[in-house]
Amino acid sequence: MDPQVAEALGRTNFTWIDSVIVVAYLSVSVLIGVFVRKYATNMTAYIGAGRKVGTWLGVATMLGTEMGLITVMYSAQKGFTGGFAAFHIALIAGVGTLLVALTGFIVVPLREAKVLTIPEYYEKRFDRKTRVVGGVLLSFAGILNMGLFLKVGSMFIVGATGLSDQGWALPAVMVALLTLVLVYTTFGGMISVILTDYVQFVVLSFGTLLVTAIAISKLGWEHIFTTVQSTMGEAGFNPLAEGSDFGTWYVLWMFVSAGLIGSAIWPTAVSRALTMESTAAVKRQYLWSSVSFTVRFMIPYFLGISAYVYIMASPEGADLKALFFPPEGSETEPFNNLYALPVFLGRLVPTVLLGIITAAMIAAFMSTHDSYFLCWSSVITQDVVAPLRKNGLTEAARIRLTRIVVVLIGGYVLYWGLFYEGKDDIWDYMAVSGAIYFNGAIGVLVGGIYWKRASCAGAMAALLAGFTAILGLGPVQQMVGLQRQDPVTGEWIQLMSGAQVGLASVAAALIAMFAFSLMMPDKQRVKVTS
Amino acid sequence: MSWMLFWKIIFIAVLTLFAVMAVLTTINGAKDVKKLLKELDDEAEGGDQ
Repeated sequence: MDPQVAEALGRTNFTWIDSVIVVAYLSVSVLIGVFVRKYATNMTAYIGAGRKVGTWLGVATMLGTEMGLITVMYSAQKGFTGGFAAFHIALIAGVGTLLVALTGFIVVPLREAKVLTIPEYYEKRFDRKTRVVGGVLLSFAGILNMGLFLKVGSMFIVGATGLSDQGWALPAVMVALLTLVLVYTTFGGMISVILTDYVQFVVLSFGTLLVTAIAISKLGWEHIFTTVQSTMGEAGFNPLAEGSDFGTWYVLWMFVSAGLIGSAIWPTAVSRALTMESTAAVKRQYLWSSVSFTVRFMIPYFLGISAYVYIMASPEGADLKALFFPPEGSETEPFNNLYALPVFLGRLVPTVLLGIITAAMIAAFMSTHDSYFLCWSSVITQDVVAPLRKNGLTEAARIRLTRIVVVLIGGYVLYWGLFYEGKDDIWDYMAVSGAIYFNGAIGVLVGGIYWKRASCAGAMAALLAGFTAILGLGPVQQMVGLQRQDPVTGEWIQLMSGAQVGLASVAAALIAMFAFSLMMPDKQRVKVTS
Repeated sequence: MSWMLFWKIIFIAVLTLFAVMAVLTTINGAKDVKKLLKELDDEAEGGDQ
């Protein structure tokens, strides 16, 4: 690497004191996991925390799960490239969660049904086949969706600690973090996840608020806005403006994916609702979470924008400008903009506080990983393997299998992080990969809960129609001809954007549920009871 | 109202709400943790008998 680039990336306030803070914090998290192992004696306790979680703990664990380091990184990337116009996604997410809180849409009926996973509801309302197919699609999409978590999270750590020019650092951090999460997730299950989520909520909330205040005081409130105005123009504020990173289709797609899905259908969020002590607690949890669902996007967007302003219009960040924005005509490739936030924070935040913030970010990383590991592994155990076994599985065998699957998913995430070379915006990759599951699930859940005539055939058709969302992924689009290469410039041109594919796929799932239920009704209608 | 002013107002409002929520959740969440552990302890003792 160019010595000047290495010097620019190596400038950070992170010192050995910060390392001590990070190690101490992580040790406490692992100890909690080991301590609560004694409570994880059955599946309800292991993946549902015994359904004893109170409202406030539920709010903390919801944010702990959904504001992962991956969220911080991909949101900062969106703010860095899209400016304040990206805020519309946060606003949609908050309003969507508020509507779920006020109406109980989907989550309250699921909690009333006393299921542990969403596919379990599929079997109660439809049949076992729907549960197994739903479980396979859900775990496939979910595991694909979290494929980049480890790599992107580790990029934050090497960026903030000034190690991003060292080739060995990224894989080493990935292995260390993964080992840590696997240890305490396999030990304590949901109880350890919820307890560490609480600690992480406290550190993360106050930490991010403090960093936001520091960014504003260092860069200047007005200066941040005027720099975006002068460099991005109207497109830096209005998501529908010409030249904006977003546009009408994208905003509509956000109403579905960030608004409706993120709160009411995404399994890791719903799994929190299923652990709550009552349906009233679920509604209160969602009411407060409407604030945290907004914040989890908005603060990272703001920090990404601040990193942009620091690089574009502050003397301290001038050495980074040529790195992230090489002059036109230059042969140098722009440096991966995912590193903008950690490099910015490494220079902005003072020692000690940087240690606490890094610990908070690692906490965010861990709280998301543990929940996702547990969520997908429990779906594979409860909804795919157990229903397919003639004699079922004992409680002990289910816990053992869930732990084994957690470790296997960990292996996959490490492999994907080491070898995947995707160029997509991380948020767009995640929205499309998640849609493989949730587009079908919308049809099945909405039909199953709110329409008496929804049938098993309709549910299966909706699940399969939702799978067409896979056509939104870049490599798949190239394979099936939805993207073609310009023979002159060599650039790939999209015939249908990921957002358009996603919306079409949602419509297809809903139509499939409706049409197949009418054409092939069930002989007997099922009423779901707890 | 311009988009810039709109986002300024939204951002300040959201940060204020979040600060209030963080304080409330920290205090009341600690009580919930205590309650959860007690109930799990009671359940474990009941199961042992």
